[in-house]
Amino acid sequence: MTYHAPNRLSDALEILAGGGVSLIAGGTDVYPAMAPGGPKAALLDITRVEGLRGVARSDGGWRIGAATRWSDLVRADLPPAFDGLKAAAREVGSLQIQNAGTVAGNICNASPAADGVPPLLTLEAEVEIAALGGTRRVALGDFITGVRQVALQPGEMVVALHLPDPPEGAVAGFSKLGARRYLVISIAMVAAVLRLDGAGRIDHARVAVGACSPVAKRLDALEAGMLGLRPGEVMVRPEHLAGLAPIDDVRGSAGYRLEAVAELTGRLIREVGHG
Amino acid sequence: MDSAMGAGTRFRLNGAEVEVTPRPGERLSEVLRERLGARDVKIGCNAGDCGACTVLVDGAPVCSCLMAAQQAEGCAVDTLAGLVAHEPLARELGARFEAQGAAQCGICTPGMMVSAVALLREVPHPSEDQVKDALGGVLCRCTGYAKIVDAVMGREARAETGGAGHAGAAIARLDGGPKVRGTEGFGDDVAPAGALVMKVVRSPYARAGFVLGDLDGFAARPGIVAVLSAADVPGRNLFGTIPGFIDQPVFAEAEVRFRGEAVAAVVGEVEAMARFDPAEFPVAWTPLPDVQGMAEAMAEGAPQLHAGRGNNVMCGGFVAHGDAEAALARADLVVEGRFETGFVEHAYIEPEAGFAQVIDGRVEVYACTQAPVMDLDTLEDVLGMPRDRIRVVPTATGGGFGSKLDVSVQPYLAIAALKTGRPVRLTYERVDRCSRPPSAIRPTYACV
Repeated sequence: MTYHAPNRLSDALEILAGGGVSLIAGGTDVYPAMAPGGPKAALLDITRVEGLRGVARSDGGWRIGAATRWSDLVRADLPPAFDGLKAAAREVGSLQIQNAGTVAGNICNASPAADGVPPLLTLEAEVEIAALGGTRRVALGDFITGVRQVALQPGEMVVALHLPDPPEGAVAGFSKLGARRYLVISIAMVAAVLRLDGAGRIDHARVAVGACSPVAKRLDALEAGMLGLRPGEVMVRPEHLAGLAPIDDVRGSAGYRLEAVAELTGRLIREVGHG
Repeated sequence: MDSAMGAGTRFRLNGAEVEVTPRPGERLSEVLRERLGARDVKIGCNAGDCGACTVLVDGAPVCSCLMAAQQAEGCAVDTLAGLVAHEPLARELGARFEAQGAAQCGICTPGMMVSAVALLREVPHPSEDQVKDALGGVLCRCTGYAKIVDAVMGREARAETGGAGHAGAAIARLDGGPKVRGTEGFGDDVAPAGALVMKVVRSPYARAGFVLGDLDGFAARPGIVAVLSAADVPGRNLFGTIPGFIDQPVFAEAEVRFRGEAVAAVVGEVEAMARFDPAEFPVAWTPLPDVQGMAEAMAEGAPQLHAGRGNNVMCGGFVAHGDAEAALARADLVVEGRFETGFVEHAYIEPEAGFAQVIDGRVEVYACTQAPVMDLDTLEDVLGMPRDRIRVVPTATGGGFGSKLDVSVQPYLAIAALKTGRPVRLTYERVDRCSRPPSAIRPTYACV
C-alpha cells in the first residue's frame, strides 16, 4: 500500500495509468466514504501537482485548477457573474470543509446534492480531463452521467474546469434550502446567471436546479420563457420544472422539493434581477 | 518530494518540528492524537460533520479527521493546547469561554476555540454573523451556541463568578480550566500508550441466526491478540440498566435481535486493528423474519423475539386517577391526538469510549459514563466477580444526555482486559451507537 504525492502531472498520470489507485485531494468525500480498515487501494494525492491549484484567466474565460479549494474560489477576484458560484462555495459544508474540499472533487463525487454543480452549469463549465494519451474537454452536463457516476475512463483524471466569459454585465446568485444554516445537505437549491438589457428586461438567462434530479439540471424552458421579461414578471410554472425528478427521503418529500424549488427559483430571479 | 512517500512526514506541530511515518492515508487527527500525543484534538464523527477535530493548518481551520496526514508535510499545524500555550489571544478567549459558561461538557470546545482563534486573528471585533459563519462547522450539543457566540464576541458575562464558595454564591466552574486548555481527559483520552485496541463485530441484520467460524484461526493472525464471544463472558451474559429488564446479552448467542447487536469482539495491536475490517471476520449469518416498528411487532402472528415477552411487549402499566370515562362522557368537546416520534440519536459529540486494565487482580474500567455505580452493578453480574475486585473510574463525559447511563463499552473492556492481561481500549464509531427508539402516543383530551 502506497501514498503517492507527485509534483508533476506527468508523474500523476503515469501512476494513474498503472491502475489500482484512488485519487485524493481535499479528502472531504474520500474519508467519510472509507470502509473500516483504511484505504483498500494505493492513494494518489494530486494536491502537490504543480499548476493544479488556483483560479486564473485562460483564453476567453477562467480556469479553475482541479486542486483549487472552495475557499480559494471565494477569495478569487472574479466578475459579478460568478457571485452565484461564490455563494455556493460559502455553503459547501462549513469553513473547515471549504478550506480542504476542492471544486473538482465536488463534481467528481457526483452527488445529486453537490452545491457546486448548479452554479457551474449556469456558467457553462467544461471539464478538462487528462490521461497519458492527451487531454479532452467535456461539458459539465455530459461529464456527470448519474448518481455518483462521471464520464472518466480508467487512467483519466480531471485537471481543470473551464468557464467561458459570461456576457458583460451579467449578475448571478445561488440559493440553498437546508434544514439548518450550516453543515447541511441541500433539500433543494438553485443557481442563476442573468443579464438585463437597458430597459431592465432579461436578455440572458441560465438557471440550474440541484438536489431535485439524479444530476443537477438546467431549466431550459424557464430560461427561454424568461427572455424579454422583467425579473419581477417571471412566474415559475410546473411545466418549467418538468425535467426534474426529485426523490422522497429523510430531508424532504418529492412534492415538497418541487414546491420549494419553484419558490426558491422565483425568489432568486427577483433577488438577482434587482441586484 | 518523492512520488511515493515511504519516508516520514515532517511538519511543525504547535511550533515544534515533528516527524512521523503514517500509514498511507492515515488521518491527520489520528496521527496527532496517537503518534504525537495531541489528545486535545477531539474526534466526534470522523466524517467532517462535527468539527471537534478542527486544527489550523497554515492558519486555516480544517477538520483533521478528513485530512491525509501526508498532506501536512511542510505545514504549520496548531491545536488548541498549542494556541493556548503560545498565543495570548487564545488564553484571553479561554478566559471568556470560562466566564460565559461556554464550555459545558467541553468536547466541542477545542474545535470551537481553534475556529474562533482563526477568526479573531483576522477580525478582532467580529459581528455576530461573522462569528456564526466562523463557528458554523463545529457542533455543540449542550449550550445552544449563544454563550459560545457571546464569548467569541467578548460580550459581558451574564453572571459574575467570583464568590467565595458558600451556598448560593456563583463560583468559577471547577473543571472549566482543563476544558478551555485542551487538557480535559475524556473517554478516549486516558488509555495508556501501547494499550491494545478492541473493535466489536456487529450484526448487519435486524434478526438473524449466526454461527461463528474459526475464531482461533482468526486470533492467530499477525497482531491479533484475542477474539471474544459469548463463551468468554465469565458471569451472566446479560446486562440492562433497570432491574427486571436485564435482557441484553453482552454477546448474542446463536441469534441476533437487532441490527448492530454484538456477536464478537477482536482485540489486537494498534497497527493490526487499524487495518481490521469486520467484513473479514468469520461469521455466517442466516437472516430470520424480523419486525420493523411497533405495529408490526404487535400484529397477530408477528415473529416473537424474546421468550416470555408475548406479543413482543416488554412491559405494560396502568395508572388510574378519577373517573376518566365519566369526564369524557360529559365533555363539551373530545379530541383524540396521535403523536409519533422517529428514531432520535442523542448525538453527543463524544463517542462512547474507555479502557480497562487489571491492577493487582482488580479490573479497572475507565469510561465516559454517567452512572459509575450502575456500571459496577452490571460488571459484578457480567464478570461474576466480587464487587471489591472491580473499579469503575468515570472520565469526563463529552455529552451524554441520559444515554451514557446505559452500559456500552464497559463489559467488553473488562472482559478483554481480564482475558489478555493487558490494557485494552475501545472507542465506538458512529455506527456502533444505538438510537432512542421511536414512540407513538394516542391521548384523548376533553373540555369539560
